[in-house]
Amino acid sequence: MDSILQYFRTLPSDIILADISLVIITIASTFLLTKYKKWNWLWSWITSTDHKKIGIMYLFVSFLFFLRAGLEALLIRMQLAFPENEFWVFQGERFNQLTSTHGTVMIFLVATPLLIGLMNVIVPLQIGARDVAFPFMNSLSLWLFISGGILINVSFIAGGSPNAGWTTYAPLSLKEFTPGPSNTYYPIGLQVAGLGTIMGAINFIVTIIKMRAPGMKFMRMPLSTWSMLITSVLIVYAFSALAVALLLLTFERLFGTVILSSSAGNPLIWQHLFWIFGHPEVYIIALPAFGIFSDVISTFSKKKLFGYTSMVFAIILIGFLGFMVWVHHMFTVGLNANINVFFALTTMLIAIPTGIKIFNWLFTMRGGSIRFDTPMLYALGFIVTFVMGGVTGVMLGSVPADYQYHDSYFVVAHLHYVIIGATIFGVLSGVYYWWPKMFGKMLNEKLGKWNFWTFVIGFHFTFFPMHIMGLMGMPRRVFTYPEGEGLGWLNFVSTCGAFLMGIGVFIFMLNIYITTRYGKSVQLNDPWMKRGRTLEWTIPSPPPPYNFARTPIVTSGEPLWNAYENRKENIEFEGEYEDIHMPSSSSLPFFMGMAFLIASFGFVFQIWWLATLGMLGVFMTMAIRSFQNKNGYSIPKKNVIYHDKGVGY
Amino acid sequence: MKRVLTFIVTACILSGCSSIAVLNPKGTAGEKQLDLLLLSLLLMGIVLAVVFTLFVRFLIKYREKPGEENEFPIQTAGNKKLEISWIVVPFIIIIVLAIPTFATTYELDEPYTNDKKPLIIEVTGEQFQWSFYYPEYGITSTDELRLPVNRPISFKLTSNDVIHSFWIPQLGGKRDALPGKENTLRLKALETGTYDGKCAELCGAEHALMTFDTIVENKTNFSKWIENMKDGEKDG
Amino acid sequence: MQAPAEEKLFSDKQAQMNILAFWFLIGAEVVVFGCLFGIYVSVQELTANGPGPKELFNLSEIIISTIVLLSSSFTCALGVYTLKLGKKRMTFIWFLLTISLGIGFVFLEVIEFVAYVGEGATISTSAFLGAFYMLLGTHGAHVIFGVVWISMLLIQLVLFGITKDTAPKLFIASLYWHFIDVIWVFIFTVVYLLGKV
Ligand code: HEA
Ligand code: HEA
Ligand code: CUA
Ligand SMILES: [Cu+2]
Repeated sequence: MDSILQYFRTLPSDIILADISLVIITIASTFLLTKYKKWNWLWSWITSTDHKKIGIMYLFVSFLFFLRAGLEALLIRMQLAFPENEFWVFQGERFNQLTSTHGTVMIFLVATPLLIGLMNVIVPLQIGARDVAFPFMNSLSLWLFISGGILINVSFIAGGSPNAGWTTYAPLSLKEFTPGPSNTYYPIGLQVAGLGTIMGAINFIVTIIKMRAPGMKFMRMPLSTWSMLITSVLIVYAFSALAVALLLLTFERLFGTVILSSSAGNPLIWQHLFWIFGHPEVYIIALPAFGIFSDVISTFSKKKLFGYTSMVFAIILIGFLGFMVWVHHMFTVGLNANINVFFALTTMLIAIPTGIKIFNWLFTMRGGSIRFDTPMLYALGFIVTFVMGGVTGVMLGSVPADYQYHDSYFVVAHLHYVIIGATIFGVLSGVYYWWPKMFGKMLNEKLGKWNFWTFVIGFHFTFFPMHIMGLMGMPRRVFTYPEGEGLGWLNFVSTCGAFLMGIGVFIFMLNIYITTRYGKSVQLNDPWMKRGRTLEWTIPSPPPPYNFARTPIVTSGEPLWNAYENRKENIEFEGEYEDIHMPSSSSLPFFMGMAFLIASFGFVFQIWWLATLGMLGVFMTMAIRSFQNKNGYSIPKKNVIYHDKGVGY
Repeated sequence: MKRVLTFIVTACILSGCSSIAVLNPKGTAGEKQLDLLLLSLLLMGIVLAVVFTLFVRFLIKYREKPGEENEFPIQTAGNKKLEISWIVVPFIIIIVLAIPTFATTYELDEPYTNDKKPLIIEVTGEQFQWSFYYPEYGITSTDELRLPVNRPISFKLTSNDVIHSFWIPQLGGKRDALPGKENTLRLKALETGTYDGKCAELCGAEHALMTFDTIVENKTNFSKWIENMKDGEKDG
Repeated sequence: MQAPAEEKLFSDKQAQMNILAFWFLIGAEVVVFGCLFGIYVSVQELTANGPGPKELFNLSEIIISTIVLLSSSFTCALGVYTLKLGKKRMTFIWFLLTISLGIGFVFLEVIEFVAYVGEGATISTSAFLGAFYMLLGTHGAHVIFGVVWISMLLIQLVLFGITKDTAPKLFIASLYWHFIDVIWVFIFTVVYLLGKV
């Protein structure tokens, strides 16, 4: 008992606070779940194999991670608000942990899964499918993501967070320079989450290739679906490279290999592997957002997407070029000039397919009839913000100039302009757009507009000054900067902006709360006032578990819009009603995820019996799964008919 | 042209620009990099102007007016000429940027010819300090770098532990100091003065504090400093 | 001549999707091994004070393991052939032979590694050895996984016979097995043969 007390006395105050809030949150949620008798309800979500529920859980969990990483961003900004500031405990080592987990969590546990979650809900609906190709694997992806995420997140209170940046460059990330579990969390946690992501991607690919409704040719697919297909291919290849990089780092830290060490090996191998993954990753989190914006802009302009074919072509080209530019993150490591200029050229070339998309979006609006609902506002905010971030990207591609920008706040500005501009705006746009489809209620428009304006204005205040800070010579990942360099007021403005963004996030949460609590059900297939164009708007909101009672027959790229043009209420469904076969829910993915979590802890702390136990659990669940009969259950025809004709009309 | 641009950037956008190190270079490498920065800024300015003009125009012109809620706008699938134009024009812009980028990259990479007699300085990064060894004089200084003005300098960068990055924003762009490897950075300081030097690569807890002063002096003062250092070394 | 049973066994939509998914998984694995080869090749010369490929490898032993593994590919192909013919017994025997050969290969590999470690060539001796063990270890782990997986499927084969459920699974496992063998051919060439010259 004494030793436990002693342990708590030695903890820094931030960790104590985190511990306390963790305990409070656990007790409170246990209490609430028990009081409202919601345990069964929770379990039905945990074990669900319905793509819509899984998608929603993805969104929910990654939003929690977003709050955590956003909170870290606020702490970063508070430490940097003034020159030579000393905010709380966040100097030196602790600050590095903040930055590293902010970046890592945002990229791997926020941006990527937010988009995967949204697409999980939408893609099957857009192609007229009843579910994804592998519902069980879908749930497994989710649980691997969650266990990897938990691991990265608890590092803060259990032994120290990763502290070598989200890029975790060797040799700083090696045991020699950062002993303890800190940087071991990174490769293990991301390995588990990454495995889930690869499985999810394969799931998307097979779903999109094999499960489209009759008549939906490839060139009739909505852009969201197209972009998710290409993104999934990128994930399969890019995340495999990451897997090797992480395996390598794991070996270095746990098993004593010396491949990355500076004396016996070559630390640059890490950088190459990481960026071979890392650059495609930034398109992995941008392309689905491009898809969402294509759908949103077309819907709210009441116009067919301008240059559909070239849009598809541009996505493919971006994906392809994305694998050939990685050295632009390494211009200053001293590779020879030939290599540098080659990668500068490929980098700049990506501006062309991206430009194609930008102009096609603009010209989609031309001649249309534009409404400014919140999803559209975010899409418009995206165009402005992303183009600004994109052109600074091209500036970064100019090698000698990058010698100046590299690892300065100029890069921090660029990356937030493109990532928040594309991914975060994209997700918010998509969430507002598809919320009624997911939950059957419209998010409040008024709060939506408040949410948009505070978030966007806050955004530009936060990140625009960073361009200038970078040019003034402020390196990134510094916890302090000297008094007389003129950096003070810019940083202060930036900090204020971050708080305004925080208010925006708060309004968003408020909106969700108010809508859920007081909002009215929309009772419409297409709540956006007859602007919907694609298949997801032809079915009830929220859709029944099987999505489509009868199979839609697709004869064009925008079946619903064409029906509207012909003064019809909805598209034609063909075929007979029949019994619908559904996959049964399963608790195995959850247990497999937990087994991975246990094994991961074993690895991180090098408790080998625990690691073995966890891995045994993993193989056990796999074996059980292999033997399980996968019959699922059947929804009888008469229920389907009753539901299809009786509700929502 | 360059003057005008510099002026515009200095005057309009960021008044009091002398504090923006990169825009106010005092070294050869920094100057070339500024040229590229300004060129790319100009080109990107054009891109932004075009995009924003179209954006604002379309938004104003084609917003839904009251009473239009149930109308069906004409659906256009695309336009070959327009689509080709926004492939070709960006391509040209990129070529315009790429050519000087290539030229400057090779130029900065070029070793000095023998007649230039560069001053060689061996820079070693270490958690968390910089040391500068002048082989020509056999002296070492820590966290303070002295350079003679107008003499070509060749930094030989390396590290004793993790990766650091050597950066003097006002003199020129950075170059990484890698353990077990030697990198070269070449530049010439054009004006005397004191400039901030930084470590730009995350290298551990005190990364932010791994700064150094760069003092550029005229020949006599520099020689004096050398003599002092030598004496100091003898004494110590 | 295709056996009539084949159409029925693999026409199931789910089976087709499984097979397609598996091809993409193979795509991912290609990248994994590609990167591991990349690492190996780039640190091959960094032998520090430890032994290099020339001193370490004993080709005749490696050739034996190669023969063992490649013949397992052959028996595996025969297993799929009999599977398509619907012959449960023969399928069982061929696949059993396949995994026995797989186990034999792993056994030889372990002996090889133990010998190396005995000579002082451990995973942390040099970058070259680290990359070597990582590459070979990943491959070996794949073989072990394949053995366990196919054993599971064989139990199912015994229990349920050749069905629309078990047949595609065995087929996929056979693809996996061939893939591992192909990787071995590359390892044999790049690591052992080229290491010796
Ligand atoms: C969503 C994520 C995302 C996206 C889409 C991009 C897009 C681009 N990025 Fe960015 N980038 C990041 C995320 C992203 N980036 C991150 C996270 C980092 C930092 C990593 C780290 O170190 O931590 C980074 C860093 C980074 C660097 C390294 C900087 C350094 O560390 O020194 C470079 C260098 O070339 C670069 C370039 C580009 C380019 C050229 C594009 C292009 O794709 C942009 C193309 C878009 C446009 C150009 C605008 C629209 C086009 C037109 C209107 C047509 C006309 C335009 C022209 C003719 C120019 N990025
Ligand atoms: C998806 C990607 C993403 C997103 C959305 C953000 C969002 C933000 N980022 Fe981040 N950032 C990165 C990705 C991202 N970032 C990456 C990859 C790096 C590089 C890391 C590295 O160098 O290794 C980085 C680095 C980075 C730095 C540089 C750190 C350094 O170099 O030292 C800074 C500094 O200001 C910063 C700030 C912010 C801010 C203010 C936001 C804001 O937009 C955040 C807005 C959100 C909020 C304000 C949250 C509000 C919520 C609440 C207030 C709720 C309170 C909590 C509970 C109820 C639990 N980020
Ligand atoms: Cu040295 Cu940062
Ligand atoms: Cu990149």
